[in-house]
Amino acid sequence: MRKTRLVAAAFASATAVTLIASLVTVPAHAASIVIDSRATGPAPAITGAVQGGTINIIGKSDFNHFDPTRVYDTAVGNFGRLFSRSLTGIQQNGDVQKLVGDLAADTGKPSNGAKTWTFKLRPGIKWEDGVDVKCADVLYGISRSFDTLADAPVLTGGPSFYLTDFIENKTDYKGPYATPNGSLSGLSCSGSGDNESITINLTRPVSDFNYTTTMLAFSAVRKDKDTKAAYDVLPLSDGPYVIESRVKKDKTVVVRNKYWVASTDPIRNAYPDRIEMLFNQDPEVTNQLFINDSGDAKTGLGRTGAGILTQNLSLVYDSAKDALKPAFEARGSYLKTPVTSWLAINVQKVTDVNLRKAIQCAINKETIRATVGGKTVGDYTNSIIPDSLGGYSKYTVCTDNPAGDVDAAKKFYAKSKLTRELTFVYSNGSTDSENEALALQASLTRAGIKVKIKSIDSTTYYDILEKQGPDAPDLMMYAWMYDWPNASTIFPPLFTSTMVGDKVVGENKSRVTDKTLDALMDKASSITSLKLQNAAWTRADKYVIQTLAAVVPLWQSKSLWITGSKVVAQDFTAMGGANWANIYVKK
Amino acid sequence: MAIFANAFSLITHLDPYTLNDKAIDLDNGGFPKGAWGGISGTHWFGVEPGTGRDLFMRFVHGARTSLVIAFTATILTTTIGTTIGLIAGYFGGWAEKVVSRVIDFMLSFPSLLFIIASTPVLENSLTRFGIEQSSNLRVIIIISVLTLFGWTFPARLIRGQVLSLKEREFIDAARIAGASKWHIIFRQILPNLSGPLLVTASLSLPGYVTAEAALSYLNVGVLPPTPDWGATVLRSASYYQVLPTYMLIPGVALLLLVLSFNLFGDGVRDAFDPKSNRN
Repeated sequence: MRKTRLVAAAFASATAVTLIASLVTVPAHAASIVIDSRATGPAPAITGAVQGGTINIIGKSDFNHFDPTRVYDTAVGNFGRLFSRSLTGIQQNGDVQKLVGDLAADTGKPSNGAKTWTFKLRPGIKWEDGVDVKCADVLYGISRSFDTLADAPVLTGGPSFYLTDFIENKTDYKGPYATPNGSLSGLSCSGSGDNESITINLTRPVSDFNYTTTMLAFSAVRKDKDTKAAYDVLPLSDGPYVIESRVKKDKTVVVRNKYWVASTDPIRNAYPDRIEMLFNQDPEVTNQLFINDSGDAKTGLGRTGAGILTQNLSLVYDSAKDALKPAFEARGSYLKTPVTSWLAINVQKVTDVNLRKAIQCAINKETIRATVGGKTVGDYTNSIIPDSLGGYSKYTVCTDNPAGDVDAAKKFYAKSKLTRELTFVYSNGSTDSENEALALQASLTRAGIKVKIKSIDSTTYYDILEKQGPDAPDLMMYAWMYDWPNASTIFPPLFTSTMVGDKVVGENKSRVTDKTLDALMDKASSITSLKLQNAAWTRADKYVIQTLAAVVPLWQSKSLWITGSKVVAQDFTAMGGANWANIYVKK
Repeated sequence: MAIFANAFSLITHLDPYTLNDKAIDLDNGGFPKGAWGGISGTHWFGVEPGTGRDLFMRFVHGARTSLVIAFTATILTTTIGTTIGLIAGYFGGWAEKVVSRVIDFMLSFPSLLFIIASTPVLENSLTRFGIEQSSNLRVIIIISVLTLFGWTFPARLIRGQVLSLKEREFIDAARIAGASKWHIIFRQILPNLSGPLLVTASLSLPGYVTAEAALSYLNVGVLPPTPDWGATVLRSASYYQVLPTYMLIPGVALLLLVLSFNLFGDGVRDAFDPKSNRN
């Protein structure tokens, strides 16, 4: 999923709208996830946790979506799980992370070579009005993602391209609004009463489909309560909380759902009684509130933790020890995430591969990283696959020295036929991104590469990034995180040639249209053995970086944030967000 | 100091643009090395967090940016305002009515708000015609919008002065002697206006310095990497807690500059105004 690149030190700065995945609880070390197909409620209790109390969320930007079909953002998905339940989910207790059934009673049974998946549904789950959650509701919820195929889609913003790509659709179904009498051929319900199952037929084998189903797009939605666009503001809950009141971009209050039963839920502990959210707050002020632990911030949490702005880093972070200062250890977190950041090179405009290689050599990662927070931003990397995934492999791009190799860059540049001034664009929202642009410019200038930095209004920045034509940028920063722990959710969404159109390029910021790479990705996706598949993704990674030189990998992000002293949210998910299943307020 | 900015560069061998990764802690968010934001014999005002650019160089060169904009805007507004004021005041009739209404209209405009809103719009419409976004373009735009709203103050003042001057005997004498209108306006009336003109000009200059700084502070000022005081104050504001010198130096400098121009303006007024009490 697209990860809004954050330039503040914290991975999830309070200033940024983080558009990241719904997979909240997938940890940095995905290898450590075990599958527990028989998990039952209640969720394993957290030592020392107590019921009750109120938690305050204080931040700049509101959650963009609450409709489970439209959620594609870590923090939102994380929070959205309090009132929406997906087929499977991740149960977390300390470092132990398990893939368990959520709406499903198991973690799915593959058949037909992983082309068909059957999930037995968990009995006893009720909607907030006391009605049972039935298989028909799950079926309806999943089929809503197909609305994006309609001529005028309503349910935009979600990860629907996975669902429309994976789930069999023989009858050209376009969602429940455009085709009210149709049905999605890939979905079927069987059984009755407490013994219902949903069967999902796929277009091709997907061996880790039960990770895909952790996305909130695989939630139940009741047809008679589907209010279309309005469902995004007030969804019907089948989780432990309901929305009591909501004023978008301002204030939202969440209280307990009296029909939720702990014994039907293996994931959520649901400790606090009440959650109050206040948005549109000044990031600098919020930072001070959290650092000083004053007012509501005492029982507070940033929208995604409280990201620390670069200028305030030295107040909480000890660079000599590369850790939080002792005073903040108890209420802070500093973790490596699976988000990788890189410089995307527009290969359709920077046509000479020698120039692209010269850029790879000339980049000074040290000075660029310093402008946005130094060590706390992340660890240098040469791959766009995070080191927690099987496909990760350590190799050299030009040089292992993060300061770059100017002599090698000059040699490549001498061979380049293209020597015009390149344009790097950045969002004018913060001093950090301006400094970053200056550092990038300075590092390329060392090798004689001419770069013009251009500030773009933050509201149109993302439109400019995907624009084609003479105004298309040559160089831009970008970041990405997998949707579930498999590199199959990194390369196809980023480098598929069909995304590059005449007007826009989607997520393919490097504008790569390479037949060899397309074939390489198609082949990798079809491999069912995870080990062989990973090796294929490593080849794709090397092809993009070493052969095409379409990106310059910079670093794998870290996240640093703090909460109020009365909130215990030690289970920060490594992808950026507090794990709401286990948060509690100290008495 | 602004005039001698380049001379300072020669002394310290520094310039306001070069990034210096030696002076900052690359691991710790580019925080300046050394006490007080890296103040030392080389870096008199310390270095900029994140980039390591020399703050003294940015200060002196930034003064230049601010003053070039403020001086140009002052000269333009005074010239335009005086011309329009003279014409309106001397000719009277419909010319005066139109000009007075326009002035009233412009004065009742929330000008700063309008300048903030119109700067990016103006720039976007210019770039659409193929003009490249650049720092110089921004400077021209800022001067233009400041002038657009600034000429009304001298114009109104001059108009009032002319209205009373043109009834005086020496004007009548000139008219009877057969002098042309232009001779009367520029040879007879204008020299008598030099006092109030100097006063308004010297008082509006600090106003433009602060307006330009305000625009830069609001992110619609000059573009990076051009040094500018307002931009420095903007960058430093968030560091007030951890790096107080970073914000204090440009802040105090701006204060002193505006204060000195205001005092200068007061002095000029005292010198030219026969009614004021000269001690």
